[in-house]
Amino acid sequence: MLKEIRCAGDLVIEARAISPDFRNEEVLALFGQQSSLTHLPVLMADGRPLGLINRNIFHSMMTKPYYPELYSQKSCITFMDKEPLIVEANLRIEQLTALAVATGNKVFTDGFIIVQDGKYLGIGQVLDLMHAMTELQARQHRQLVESIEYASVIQQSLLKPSEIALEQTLPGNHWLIWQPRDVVGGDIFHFSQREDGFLAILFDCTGHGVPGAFMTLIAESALEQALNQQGDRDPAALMATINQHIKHALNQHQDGNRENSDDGLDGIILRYERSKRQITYAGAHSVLYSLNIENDAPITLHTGDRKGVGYASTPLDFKWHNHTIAIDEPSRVFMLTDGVIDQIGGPRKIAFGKKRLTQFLTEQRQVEMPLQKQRFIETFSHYQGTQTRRDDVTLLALSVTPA
Amino acid sequence: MEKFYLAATSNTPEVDFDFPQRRLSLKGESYPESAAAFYGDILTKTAEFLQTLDQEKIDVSVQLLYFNSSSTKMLFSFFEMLYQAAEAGNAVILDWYHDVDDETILEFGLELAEDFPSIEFHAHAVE
Repeated sequence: MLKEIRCAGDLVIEARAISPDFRNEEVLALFGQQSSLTHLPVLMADGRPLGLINRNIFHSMMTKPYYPELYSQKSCITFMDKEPLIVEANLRIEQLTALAVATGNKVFTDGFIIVQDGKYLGIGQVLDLMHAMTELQARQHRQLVESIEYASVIQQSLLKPSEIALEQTLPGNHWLIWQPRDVVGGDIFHFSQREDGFLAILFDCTGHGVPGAFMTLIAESALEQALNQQGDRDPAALMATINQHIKHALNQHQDGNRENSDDGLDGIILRYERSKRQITYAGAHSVLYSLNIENDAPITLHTGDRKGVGYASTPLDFKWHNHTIAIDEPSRVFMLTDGVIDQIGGPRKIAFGKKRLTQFLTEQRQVEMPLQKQRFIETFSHYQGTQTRRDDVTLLALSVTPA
Repeated sequence: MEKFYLAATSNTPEVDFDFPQRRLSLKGESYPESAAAFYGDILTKTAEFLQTLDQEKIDVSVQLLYFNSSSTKMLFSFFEMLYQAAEAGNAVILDWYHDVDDETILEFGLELAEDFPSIEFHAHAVE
């Protein structure tokens, strides 16, 4: 394995150096003897570099009319660059690159002199520096990616119990798309079988990527505490408790604390009670879609409250409202994060939008769940086309048939 | 106050705040990694600007194709400031541009109009 190049000293090429006593005719002879010699550092007696002679510049000067006659016997410092880039061996590659760029063109042709405690060690070439910098960036990138990929393993483990519960509770009667934009993300779902039904939750935490993923952990722990305190029958009360928990956890419960974060989540908490033939839900700045499979009634959009959870601007004692949806006939409900609605695409490069989603769900209202999932993925990715993902995308579809 | 201008990037909008002319314009997409960092300066400058006004007319033009939820919060703070300025007696005119087929952007604009009634709101469908 190649040695890791971290500082200027790792780039040293040992190169012959001369003293200022050298005359230009001697320099000419040295260049003549050794055609590969492109640069000659000039050192003082104590080893400190004085300058750098560039072969091409030197030759172009010495071929001017009368220059050989005038300068052959003069000191070699005549045509020397008196201000070459000189760097200490322990200078880090990143800083060296910045210095090289700031110094400009000549560094690309002449390279730089590397010293230790001011004393000459050798010279360095920009090509080697570029190799080292590329390697360094690749290494840093790899470390970052590996770190996020491992974080993703943790985040997926957190979601695993809910996926298993979905499989067990609604086999063949649900589908789920969970696609963080950047390996990990701010969308999180929860599903658990509960007495007389189930609990389904979807949260879209602020941000995506690593900060989003941090928020999902806070949300998950807030949810757990809320369930302990409020039980699982009152979605609005759960939302209110989660609000308080997040505000306290992030110190967002005090006014005027502008230095602090202003993060929280939007989402839906939904409880299905089989014996009551109804869904009770509370929504925070989110939309829930429901439809009856067996008739042509239009899809219903349920909006809940237009207030996010946990944010600095949300009062600590804010009360969300419970709403109910009767499940007297086989029905489907769709919970989704705004990454679905807001995805840019299509010929006009505009958001996917509620209208397109409603149209899709209407056209596919009776299609078997696994096939519906497949068709949604096709429709959505076709719409997105060559556009980049703008946000995390999550969609949880549940099909419920009354007993 | 001097003009404030930021060129658009792939994930931040063009910010063209011509304070001397009382014309503020946002155009493009908004999903910076940190919305608070991106909008911090913009909000501070806007607040300073609005403080200098008395019974004046401010034209605000917004032509955004996409903004993520953290940008949404920042935009709300921005419109909240404008609303306060309107309540204080200035005339704030908001021209809200959206693609003719983009009901998502239009809806957001309509919500703003509802939340901040003293801002004169005009939606413009772009063909």
